[in-house]
Amino acid sequence: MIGWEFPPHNSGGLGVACQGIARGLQQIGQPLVFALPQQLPSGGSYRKVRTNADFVSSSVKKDKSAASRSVDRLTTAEQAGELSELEMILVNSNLEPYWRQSKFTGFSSGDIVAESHRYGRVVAEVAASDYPEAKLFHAHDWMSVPAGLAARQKMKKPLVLHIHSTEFDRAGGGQPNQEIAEVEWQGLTKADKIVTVSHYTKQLIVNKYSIPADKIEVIYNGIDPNPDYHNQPLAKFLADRPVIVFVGRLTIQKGPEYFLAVAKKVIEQNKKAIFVLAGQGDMYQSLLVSSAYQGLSGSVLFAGFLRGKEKQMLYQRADVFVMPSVSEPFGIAALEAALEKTPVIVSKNSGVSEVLPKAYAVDFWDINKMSSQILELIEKPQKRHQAGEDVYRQASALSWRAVAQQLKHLYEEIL
Amino acid sequence: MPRVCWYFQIHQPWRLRPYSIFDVGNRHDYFATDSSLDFDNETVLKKVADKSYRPMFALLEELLTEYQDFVFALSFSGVVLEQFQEFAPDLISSLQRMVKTQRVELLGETYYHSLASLYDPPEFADQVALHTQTIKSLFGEKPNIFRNTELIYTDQVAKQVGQLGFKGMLAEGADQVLQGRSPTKLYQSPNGELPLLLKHYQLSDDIAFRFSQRSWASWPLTADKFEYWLTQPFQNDDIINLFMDFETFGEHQWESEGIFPFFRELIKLLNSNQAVEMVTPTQAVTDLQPVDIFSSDTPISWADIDRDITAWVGNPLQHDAINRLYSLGDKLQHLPKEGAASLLADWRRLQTSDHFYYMCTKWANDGDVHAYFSPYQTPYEAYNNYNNVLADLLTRIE
Repeated sequence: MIGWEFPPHNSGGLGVACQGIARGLQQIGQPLVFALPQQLPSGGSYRKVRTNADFVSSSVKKDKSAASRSVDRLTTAEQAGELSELEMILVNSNLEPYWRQSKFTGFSSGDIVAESHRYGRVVAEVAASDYPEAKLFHAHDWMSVPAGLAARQKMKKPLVLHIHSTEFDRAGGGQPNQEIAEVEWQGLTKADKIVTVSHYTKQLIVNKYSIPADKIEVIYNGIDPNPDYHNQPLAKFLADRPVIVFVGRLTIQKGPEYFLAVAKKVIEQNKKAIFVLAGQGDMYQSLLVSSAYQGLSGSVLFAGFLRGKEKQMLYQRADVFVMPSVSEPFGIAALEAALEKTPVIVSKNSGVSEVLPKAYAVDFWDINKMSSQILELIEKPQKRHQAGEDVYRQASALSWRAVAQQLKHLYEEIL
Repeated sequence: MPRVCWYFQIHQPWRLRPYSIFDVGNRHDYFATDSSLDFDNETVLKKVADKSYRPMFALLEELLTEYQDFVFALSFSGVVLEQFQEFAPDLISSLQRMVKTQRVELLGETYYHSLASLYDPPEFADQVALHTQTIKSLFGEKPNIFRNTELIYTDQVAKQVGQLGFKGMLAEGADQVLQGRSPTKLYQSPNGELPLLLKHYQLSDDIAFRFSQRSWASWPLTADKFEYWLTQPFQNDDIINLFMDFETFGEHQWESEGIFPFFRELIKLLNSNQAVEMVTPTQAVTDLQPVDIFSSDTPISWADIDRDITAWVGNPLQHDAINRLYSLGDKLQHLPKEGAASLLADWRRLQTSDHFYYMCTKWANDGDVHAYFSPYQTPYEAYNNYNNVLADLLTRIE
């Protein structure tokens, strides 16, 4: 398995998905080794680590001590990255997935493409020397494409390319970066099989990259039950105010400026409403200025990047979750919100709307519609409760174990 | 014969603690001290007290005893006095001894070091009254001359200051208003004929900003040299107003650069120099006749090279934060008594200009000064934290 981010060093949903998939495969007994780029303070070309905490058994043990809880609830997911016996190859590199983010403005996309090739060579060499028994490579998104292709060629083993997001999504309707789209196209063309996280993305790949539809299999992302914090007192916050949240990178793809426009419109009708944006990204500063410019100080709040308990507290507290993405291959955040029984409004241009048919699906640009949906939900508790229950039922039917089973089936087909 | 008028401004804000969205609706201790923070109010106050207030107060007391001609003016915000009382009460005793000599004039200002003069005139009057009351009760004196926050001046403000009973006001000798005239005369405002003392920014900033600047052609600045600058070119002028932050001594210009001996020597020289006279602002407005009108409809201040108010309200973050804050004024007047006092105090502490200064995005020539004084990494973080507090305040009021 070749990736490029993994919790707790993740900036978005890709890391969450990679962790979920790895965990699911472990749960069903599928052996795997996970390669990741990571800045190694100790230097060197790469380092192998093996995490020793047994995820499943430790969580079960905990639950037995808390007698009132059912044993199948996983309680330690917050210890992100602590997978049982997961072997990881950490390749020394400063690769990070979202080059549009402000902290990477020092890099050009070309630097990052070159670095992804260097990462790929190291991964292929380590695979050939240390894992000659490897049967198949499974790479995630464009930055691991060079690694996947190099390993495939070196060891003559099949490559599964798993697409969580394409350059067309990230460009948010703007100009895709040609170098990166080229790497994607190479990977899509040469991989033995392609997995996409939604039909939305499958269609996009067929249309934009001219890949035959029968080469692409859709496997939706899963989600595991949220960690259970109910025995810890969850602080109340933003009391007595309707709270509407956005969780995602603050970048054009995610449509945060549409969220602001909706905020403006809703607050005109309901002065008590509070809008919270949780996330970081290249648009952070301009969104602050835009919010202030529209007179929204004190009503639109910026929470920064949240993870773990804080993120969950926000979902729990939220009256409505909104994901106005311009283009969203999946959108795990919507599932996370749904698991807290929070009503969900999602962009029609999203994969997650395919697994949450009960969510409100809207055009990301339709400010009027989103505003009236939000006003209805915050003003009608009955409706809000029902909408929360509906998406909760759909989201809680999903699991990473089920995703892993589909992947295992796919591996077996290929082999 | 030129007169020299010394005036030092003492102020420290109540800085906000880091305040997250999870605090909104939960806690209202926005200004709480917490020694784990870099910019904890108590820590900062004690640090500045050690580096500047204590050594300079001691020096001033000494100079007052030694040199009978030495007089000067001081003003302090109410919020820094609160912090003196809480964290360094010995400083209050020292101030009281100085005021007793009758050679230290205390000036009026807003209690909260706010921009209320521009945003909420009735609130401005309240804060000035609160400040006067505090000065009276601590020092037994009623301020006679007014200095607005950061020397902010407009004709309208001058008019109100006159109506509030003050006999004169300090302002920046800003080039855009003086238009080639010299700040070394007494001026007056167009409306209320309020006498105006204008800061000589060149000479004031030689001490306040350039004293230890090695790249400055006149470095090192000696007392001899500065005495010469004060007297020689101004034989036929009336007054040289040297207005600066008190923290110039020991905090902005370090002890190791020799700022204290410089000042001691300078006062010694001026005391024995028959060609100059040191005066307080009240003496100045009594002795001198205004020579001309000084008029500005748009606000000027002593900040940055712009000498306007863009350091506090120059970008949308600052504008919206301050507009939103002042929009609560009306609601606060009509609150039920219960809890109203603490709400009003919080609202007023949030008016302190420093909060908006931290949000300044003009990173040109003045960026360094802004960064030095800010508890935040970026102006955006400053806004973000303030924004969360504002959300809580709105929740409490609405």
